[in-house]
Amino acid sequence: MGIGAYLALASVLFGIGAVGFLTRRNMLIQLMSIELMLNSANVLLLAFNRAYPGNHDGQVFAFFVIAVAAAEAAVGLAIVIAYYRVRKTIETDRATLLRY
Amino acid sequence: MITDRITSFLGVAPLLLLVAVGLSIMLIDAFSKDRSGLALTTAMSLFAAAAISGAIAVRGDLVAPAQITRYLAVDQLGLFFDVVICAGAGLSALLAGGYLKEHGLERGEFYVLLIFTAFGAMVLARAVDLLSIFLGLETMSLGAYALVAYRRTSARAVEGAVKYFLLGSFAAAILLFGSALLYGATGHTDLAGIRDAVGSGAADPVLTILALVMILVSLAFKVGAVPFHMWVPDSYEGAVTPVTTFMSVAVKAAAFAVLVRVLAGAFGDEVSMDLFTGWTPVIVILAVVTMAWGNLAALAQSSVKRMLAYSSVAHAGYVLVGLAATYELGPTAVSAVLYYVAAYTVSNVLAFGSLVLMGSKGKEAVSYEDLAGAGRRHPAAAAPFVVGVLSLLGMPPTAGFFGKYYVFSAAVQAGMTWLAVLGVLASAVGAYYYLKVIVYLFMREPAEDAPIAVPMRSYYVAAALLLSGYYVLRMGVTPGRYLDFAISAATTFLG
Amino acid sequence: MHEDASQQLALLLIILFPLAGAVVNGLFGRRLPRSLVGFIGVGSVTVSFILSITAFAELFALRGEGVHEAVLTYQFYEWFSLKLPSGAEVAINVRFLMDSLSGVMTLIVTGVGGLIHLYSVGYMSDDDGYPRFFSYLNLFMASMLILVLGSSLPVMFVGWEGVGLCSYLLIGYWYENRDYASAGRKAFVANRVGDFGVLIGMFILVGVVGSFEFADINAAAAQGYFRKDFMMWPFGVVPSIATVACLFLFLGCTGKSAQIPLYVWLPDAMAGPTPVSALIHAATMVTAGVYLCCRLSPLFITSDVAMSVIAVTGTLTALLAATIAVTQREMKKILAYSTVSQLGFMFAAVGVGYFAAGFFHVFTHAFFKACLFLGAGSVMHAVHAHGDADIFKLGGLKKQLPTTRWTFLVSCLAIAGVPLTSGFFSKDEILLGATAQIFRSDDSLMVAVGWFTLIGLTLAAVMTAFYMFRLYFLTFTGEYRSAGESSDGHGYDAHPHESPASMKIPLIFLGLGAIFAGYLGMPHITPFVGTHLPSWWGHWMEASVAGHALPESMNTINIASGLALAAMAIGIGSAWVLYRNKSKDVLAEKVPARLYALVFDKWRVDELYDTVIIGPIKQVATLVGRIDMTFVDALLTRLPSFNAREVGRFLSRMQNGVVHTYGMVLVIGVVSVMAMFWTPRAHVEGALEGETLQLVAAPGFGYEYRWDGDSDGEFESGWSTKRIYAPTYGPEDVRKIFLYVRSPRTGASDHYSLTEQWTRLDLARLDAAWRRTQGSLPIVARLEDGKVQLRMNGAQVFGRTDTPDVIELPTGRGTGIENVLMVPRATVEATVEVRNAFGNVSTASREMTLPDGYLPEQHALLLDATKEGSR
Repeated sequence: MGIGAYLALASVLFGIGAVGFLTRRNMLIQLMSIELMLNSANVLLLAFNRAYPGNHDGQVFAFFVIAVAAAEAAVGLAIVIAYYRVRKTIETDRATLLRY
Repeated sequence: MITDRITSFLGVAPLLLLVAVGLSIMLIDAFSKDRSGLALTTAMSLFAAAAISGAIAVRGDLVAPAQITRYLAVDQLGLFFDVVICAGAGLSALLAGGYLKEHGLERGEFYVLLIFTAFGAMVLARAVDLLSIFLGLETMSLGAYALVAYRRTSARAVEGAVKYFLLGSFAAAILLFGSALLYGATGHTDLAGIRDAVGSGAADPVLTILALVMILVSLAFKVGAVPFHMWVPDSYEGAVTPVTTFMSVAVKAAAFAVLVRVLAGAFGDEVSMDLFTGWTPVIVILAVVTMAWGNLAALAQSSVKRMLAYSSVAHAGYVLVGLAATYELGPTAVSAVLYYVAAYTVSNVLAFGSLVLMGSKGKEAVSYEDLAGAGRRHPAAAAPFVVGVLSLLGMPPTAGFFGKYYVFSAAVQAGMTWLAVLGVLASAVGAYYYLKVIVYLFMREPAEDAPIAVPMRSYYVAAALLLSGYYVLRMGVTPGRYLDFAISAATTFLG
Repeated sequence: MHEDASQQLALLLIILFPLAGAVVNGLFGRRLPRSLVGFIGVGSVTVSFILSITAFAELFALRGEGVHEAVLTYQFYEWFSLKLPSGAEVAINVRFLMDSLSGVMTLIVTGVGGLIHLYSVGYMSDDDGYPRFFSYLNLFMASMLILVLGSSLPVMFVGWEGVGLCSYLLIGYWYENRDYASAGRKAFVANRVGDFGVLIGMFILVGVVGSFEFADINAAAAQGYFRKDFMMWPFGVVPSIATVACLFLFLGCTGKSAQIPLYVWLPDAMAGPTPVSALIHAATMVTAGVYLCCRLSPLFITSDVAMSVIAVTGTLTALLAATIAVTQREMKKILAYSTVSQLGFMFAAVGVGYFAAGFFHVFTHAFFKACLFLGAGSVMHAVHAHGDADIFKLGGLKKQLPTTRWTFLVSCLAIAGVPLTSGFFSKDEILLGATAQIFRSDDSLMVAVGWFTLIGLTLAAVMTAFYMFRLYFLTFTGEYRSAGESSDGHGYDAHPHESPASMKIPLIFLGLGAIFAGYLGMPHITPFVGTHLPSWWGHWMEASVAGHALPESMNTINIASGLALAAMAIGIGSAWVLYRNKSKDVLAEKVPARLYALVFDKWRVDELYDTVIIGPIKQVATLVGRIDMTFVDALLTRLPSFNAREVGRFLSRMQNGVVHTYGMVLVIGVVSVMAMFWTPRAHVEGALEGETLQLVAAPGFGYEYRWDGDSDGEFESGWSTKRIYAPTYGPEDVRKIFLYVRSPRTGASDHYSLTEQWTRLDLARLDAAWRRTQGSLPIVARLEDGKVQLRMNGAQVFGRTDTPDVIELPTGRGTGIENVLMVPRATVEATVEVRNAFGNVSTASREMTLPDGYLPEQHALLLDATKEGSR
């Protein structure tokens, strides 16, 4: 497969993630959408690394992204839990105490 | 040689120091119940890191090992931001020392988070590789999310954290995707390699432009430029005030550092910067919209804290004015940006710190009404507030004046007089809400049966105010040495 | 002379002590005990007085050693320097100078001032603003001393403004009272009008002399520097620059020294505490104008016109104020008009060229007028009158207030000019000066001025003696008319009492001065007997003050003295008859009531000013105020601020708190930024690279270009990343031909697009001279077969003797018609198409005038034009 296909796949994944983030109200699903977007970038990094076989920058980058994504998920879940404890909901569009 | 290795590690000594202190505090916090000294320890180690960076900057001839410098720059620009970030974080730690104790929120993890977030900010400010940019940004952001949510029983704090987290992660994902595209377009993750590839035209234009847009947007998100600023007022308002202070100075400074590194560095070639077709017009439009929106929205606020949040958006706009002038002026414009960030840091600490000082347990000062007459009742507590808002407004002889002066004069020199005029007009709008603080402090009386804010008594807060007030005036009276530091940072960076 | 190396620190200290007193009392006075405040106030001036005496003694000694132009100087520092239009640099030094003139003035200021300070300790003892009062008073002393000792106009002007400010502060000292405060304002405004004159005079002087130093100006005046004519808008050629400068300076003097037309503030200034009236509005500040005239006497004396204006103004003021004083009912009002009148005397003396005499009157007047004011204050203090005392409610006070009465009487005698009192000598000399002018001058104008001055001053002297004794008799003789009336609140204290010692001592000293000060200036020839005596004053003053020599003729002297004596006798005599031991205003019953009322109302000058000047200004101000409210406030301030707030409210409403909205806005932002890169920017410019024309397209990331150099729709190049293109043009590419016209004389140029139709060339726009040379019909041009055809209509073609009706430029020759050059030039159009990385395409075209010499040689049409054009 050429690089174009990977690019298309990554873009589609990224698009799905973005649309999911923008349309879903459930914080957990939004969190998952963001993970999807991060992973689409991973696909891209790995695919591009094939075009530049001289180094492994892309692959190394991808490992770091996976690690960071885990940390991010941990913090994110912690915040979501804290939110649930206070408000008894994880619907984002109910979070409008702070506005204007 | 072992001595060589030691001196070469000096370049990253501030980072190492912070990591060591952060880990130690984590340990101490696990075994000890006494938290009285944590704020001071944190502040002192942050100031020490700032001092080390400042000293290295003066020495100026350090060589760090290539394994480090591939990812982190050990240059004057990085050291400048080390000083700004550590000073901002240290002052915020002092504020926290007073604030958390007063409001019964003192927990050890606060200072650990603060130190690691500051560490992330420093990494970000020194990052010269897409990988270290991403890592630094995430380290900083994850810490900041947690800090915003620190008061975890407060619905507003947690809501602010949720918004900040969701939008911040979204922006981080965009940054990451942009970074991946840029890697694909150029074959490099280091900014120098990217610059060569982009400048020589070897990079694939479509991917490069997409990457530029995505990276630029996600960094604009971090600095809080309109229309990517929407998280700013909410999370600033939700967070406890010392955290707001920290975010508005240290986090923002790091974001500006990386913005400068990416735009003026990786995309610093003539075509990428072009006045009409490069990133310069984007920055110009962002600057205009940000100044206008930030100031106008701040005008409509009744909460001082939220007003200061919008005002920090507006200040991001002024900094962008300086950045926009980089195309014509290069180092001069970048030094104006740096000076502005430094001046804004001390001024904003002063303003937020005064707001902290104005309230005590159960009687926190938030809105203008809370401040009514406070200046008459407690003139000593109101004085730093006055200096702070005047500096944010840009009145001489305060740091803010020279910040605005350098930035706007850079715009004028770059032939963007109209941009400077818009900036001055926007500042004039700013005068309304800044002076409103002084009006309420000194010329209003609180309404009958309204709760009256009582200033807290805290040496920590007093120390933070004295320090920042000193530098606000110092940088407003003798800006020379600070500007020289900024100029040397900018010139060594842009060559 | 003023490069004297010896620094007289005393001069600086004389000023610094009162200044320090003002600062200490002003800042800390409220926390200090009253006695200390008074001590600081009086003490600082006393020290300053002692220093003045030592400095004066030194000056005196220098004179004794035979140094004629003896001066003491102190150079403090260089204040600033300024560049004249001529390019000369003028340094303005803070430099103090004491010569014979300023030495005497310093002594008056510190001496009389010190006594008045002492008096104030008692007089103001009940006032709440005690420290404030002393602070102002000391500040006034410092300013006055700067005025007197300043060696140049700017430094003097600092003092000049300083005393004006202090006067304002002290007149409005009881600022709770609206009338008093507005009196202060009136004084300030009147003074400001005058100050404007001083400033202009100052700038004229520095423009001519190139220095602000009095010494330089006077030296220049003595050398006749000012006598040349010069142009001055809007007066045209003025005979002497000195006249203009002096008149402007005199305008300043009329403000400060209360002369017509700006005297109106002084009577109102009596609203201030009595010591203030004595110090500022009688003894010192108001004499600043006379001082300035004396200071610049060598300048003033060069202008007969200015001198005549001064003499006439002074005389008129003396008369006018004297008539008003005759009718007034209140002590301080009478004294105030008396002051205005006496200042008129001084200016009259200056105007007839006897500066020393005028200044001598300043000297004697300081004593007796201060004494009179303080006496009035003592009376008011005694009867508990606040503000002012109505003399018709007083009377018979000689019993209760013996000290006050005797000093007051002595001063009255002095001001009336009774022989052997100080006023006699000084007034006598003024009349002598006026008489001398009549005999000395050949110029009929000057003689007329002399007559006018002499007669006017004599009449004024009569009235002076009359109203002073009217005041004296009504106050101190007869029965006390307020006895037993105190309870109803209209009268004064039924039991007046003598003032405390701190008030009596100054009265006694000043009273002694009122008698004896005059002996310093005893005339060198005694009237009637003709005995020669040395006149110390005249000798002392001639070192620093110019002026005419005093006459030696006994006739002149006897006329003057006789008139003075007669005036005094008539005045006192009629007052004796009308008012001694009387309680009613007898005069009012003897003159027509309406005239009396008119004079009593001060000739209604205030009302006149109100209707003629202040009224219209107020109307304009009200109108402007309305415009300001509707236009500036509402349209420019309220509306934008309202709009800004509403926009801000709208913007913060968009912050609706929902994460999705925020995310959407973020995405919209991304798309918008992306859109900025979506379409390429097409922009092309022509540039000359040596001899070849280059087209340069704007750069952009990933842009590709293709070119159509002549915009004929066929692209000459394929897509490439080259953004620079050098096309070649032939005549077939020419789009238009322009005729460029230029006038080398004016440098103006113009161009016309030529067609087959005749086009009119409006050459007069380039050069107005063309209007005179062109024929009856305008020149027209058109294109004919690619050539430019000009119909000359009678104009002369450059380099040709005949006058052709039509010329062609077939070989493309440019030509010159009289004073206009003409060159035809061709334009072409180029197009570029730009494609960016996204495949989007934009197009840009540019029309360019070909540079001279661009087209190949066979198309000489344009080539030759070049040669012409470069001529």
